[in-house]
Amino acid sequence: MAALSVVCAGTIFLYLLRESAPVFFAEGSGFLTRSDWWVGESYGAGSMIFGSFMVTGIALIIILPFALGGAVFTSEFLSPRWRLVIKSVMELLAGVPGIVYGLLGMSMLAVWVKSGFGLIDGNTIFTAGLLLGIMILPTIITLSEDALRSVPGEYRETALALGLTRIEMVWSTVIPQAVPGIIGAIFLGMGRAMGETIAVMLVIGGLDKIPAPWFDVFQAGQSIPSKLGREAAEAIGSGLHWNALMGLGLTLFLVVMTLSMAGNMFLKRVRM
Amino acid sequence: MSKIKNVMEMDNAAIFYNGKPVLDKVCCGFRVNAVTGVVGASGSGKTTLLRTLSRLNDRVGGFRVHGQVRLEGHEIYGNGTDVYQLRRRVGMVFQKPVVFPKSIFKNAVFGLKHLAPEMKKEFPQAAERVLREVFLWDEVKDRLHKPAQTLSQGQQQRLAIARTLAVDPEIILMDEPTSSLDPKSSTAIEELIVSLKNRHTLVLVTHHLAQARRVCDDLLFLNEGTVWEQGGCLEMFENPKRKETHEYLSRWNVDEPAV
Amino acid sequence: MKREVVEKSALGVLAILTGTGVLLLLLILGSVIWKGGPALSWEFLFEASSDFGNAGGIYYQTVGTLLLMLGAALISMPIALGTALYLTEYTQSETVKKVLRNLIYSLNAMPTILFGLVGYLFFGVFLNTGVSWLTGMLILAVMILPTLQVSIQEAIEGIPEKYRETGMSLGLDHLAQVRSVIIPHSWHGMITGVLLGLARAAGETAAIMFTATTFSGILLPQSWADPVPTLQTHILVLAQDAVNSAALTKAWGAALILLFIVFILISFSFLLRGRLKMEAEL
Repeated sequence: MAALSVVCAGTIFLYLLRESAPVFFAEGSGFLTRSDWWVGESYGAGSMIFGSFMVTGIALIIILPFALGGAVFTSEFLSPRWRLVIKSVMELLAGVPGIVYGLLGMSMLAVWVKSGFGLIDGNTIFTAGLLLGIMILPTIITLSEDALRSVPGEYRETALALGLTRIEMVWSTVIPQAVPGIIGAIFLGMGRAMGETIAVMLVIGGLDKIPAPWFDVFQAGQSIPSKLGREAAEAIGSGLHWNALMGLGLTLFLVVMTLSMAGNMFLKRVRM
Repeated sequence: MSKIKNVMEMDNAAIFYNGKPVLDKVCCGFRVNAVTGVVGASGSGKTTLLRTLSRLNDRVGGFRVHGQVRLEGHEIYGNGTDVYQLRRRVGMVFQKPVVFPKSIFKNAVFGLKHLAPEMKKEFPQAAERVLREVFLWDEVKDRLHKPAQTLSQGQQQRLAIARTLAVDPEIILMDEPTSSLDPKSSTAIEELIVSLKNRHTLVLVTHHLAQARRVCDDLLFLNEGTVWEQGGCLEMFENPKRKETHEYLSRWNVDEPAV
Repeated sequence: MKREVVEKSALGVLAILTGTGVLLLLLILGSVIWKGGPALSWEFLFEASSDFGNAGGIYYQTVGTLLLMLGAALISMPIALGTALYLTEYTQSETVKKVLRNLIYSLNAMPTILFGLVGYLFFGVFLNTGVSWLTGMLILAVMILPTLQVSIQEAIEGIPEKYRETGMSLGLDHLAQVRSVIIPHSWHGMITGVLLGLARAAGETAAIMFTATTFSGILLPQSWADPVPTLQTHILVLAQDAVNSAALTKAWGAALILLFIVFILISFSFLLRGRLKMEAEL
């Protein structure tokens, strides 16, 4: 029975590999570096790959202060009762379906971004990043909080006994020891952001283009999952287009698996 | 000693954890219908010896037994041994009373339910019999279906013994069964131990030398990972053969153990 | 003096950062209730949708979502239990444990759209189950497997050693041990896992949108091989295609129901865990 999960992960990888092989033969490394995606002519996935990393980066930059501040405050300064409240809130937030986040993002967040930054269209890479940040907040808070709490209490007491204030104690003794766990939490959060489909699909604008200049995040873009979500249904079994989409899937698989494996390794170091 | 029948014996046994010997060159026997006390300083391997007798360490990684451990002449670490049958025949009572979060009745027949499911109709009689044997019946007969955790620690330990008795073991191993109990409950358990030896063979690990002197027939003194001396209980207290045995046992009336 | 000021202001900033999380939840809940509330009515809950979702209710979509997630949990449960028992009770090999653990975590991190793509190829095409309720259930079952498995395994690992040893000392074999010691002492982990798994399945869209449902299929499946309507895909289609505000209101109403289902499931898991804590302290 246990072999089943091995089979699942292995099957996903092998299928992606087999189904995407033709596009790599046809496009070579250009599949990953060029950004011209014209169905029937050429398949360069550059803009989707760029978009995926961009939205993930924006999500991290926006949410990290809240996530890490929240984790430190929850773990070090809140009473057990309030800690339970925050943890429960985070679990509920993590449970909000992607489609609901998408609906909120599309009809509220995008509108705010549009009027707030004076744009013509609110569906941009920035909007998607912001929404993703909100979506991965619970993952990062919960896991970093666990990492902080796993630092043994004696260190805290020793620091306090030396006359440090609580903030100084946390900053100089607790956080340094929890760093690997926090890095792990961030990696896992990035993995989640990278793979989110529905919510991103509804707010990113759906344009297969790297913005010019590249850092202008207030333009429409495309991420790998949003591309897959939009086109997979119509492309099933349609030759190279399908192979190209599966190539995107394989790329996504490899990136997310690397992030999650690294994240879990960091987290385990804390647990051991 | 050799003329008397031993139910269980260890013959030149050595026990290893991860390659390190815990016990070595152990030769000892347990007489039928006697209470054999196992005494010795902390860390001398008493508990390990006890757990080896019912193969409770099988799940522990890196655990090895060399030499022979026999139950009625049959090697218990041999290939053909039915380990579950062995553990039924060699029961164990732990240091801290363990009751399952179930009713008193269900705890009493916990083992029976699996070993003799076809006797389901007779479970109430069986429960009454074993609870009487541990002198618990009068205290619990009106609340058999209440949670077992509501019992006092001493009552819980007697319930644990009753649960072991219900599967009818020939040998009952007890690992410091009174160390977490108050003096009154301890006395009750001691009386119980003496009454049990009519039908069972008992092996009792204890730190409490006065207790060993009161209830044991034979004594096994462990020191530095091996059996230092074995013999009749009173004889060893009064007339030990070795200096270390004398030093350890002579404190029996001074050290009412604090722990 | 200066240190005190630093301490106080740092604490203030941290408190505000933490409060944002709570505010976010309230904001999300508030928005969905505010926007979806007007759509709610008896008819909305118990009528079929009509005019491509612009009119009518979401009865079949709700039932479809429930059918899909229950089916997924039913398939996943025995596999998760089996894996957890194998890992905790039957295998001694550290390598096997490590490999399986890594794989379960990888499966948990897998983007759900990939479950959809490969699940469709494997179940829908290779095993010929097509775009159907069955395909959706199977895909979701694999997707929620880690949630169930980890929760069950943690519960089993949390069983005090004394209970196992007592069972062993009475001569119980593996199976009896599992039946009388392991399962009775870890059922809360199973229920928690199932509740969280159901919540995950209910909230999932990407994995089922082209594998289990079609928008035109507004009726319940008559067999395993028929597609199911779901709340998730209903919202998606309305959100993408809606031109009038009436349809968007219907989407919000459906989102409210979906959120309600998910939150009820998660809250039950809180209750269960809270009660167990109290029992443990007794």
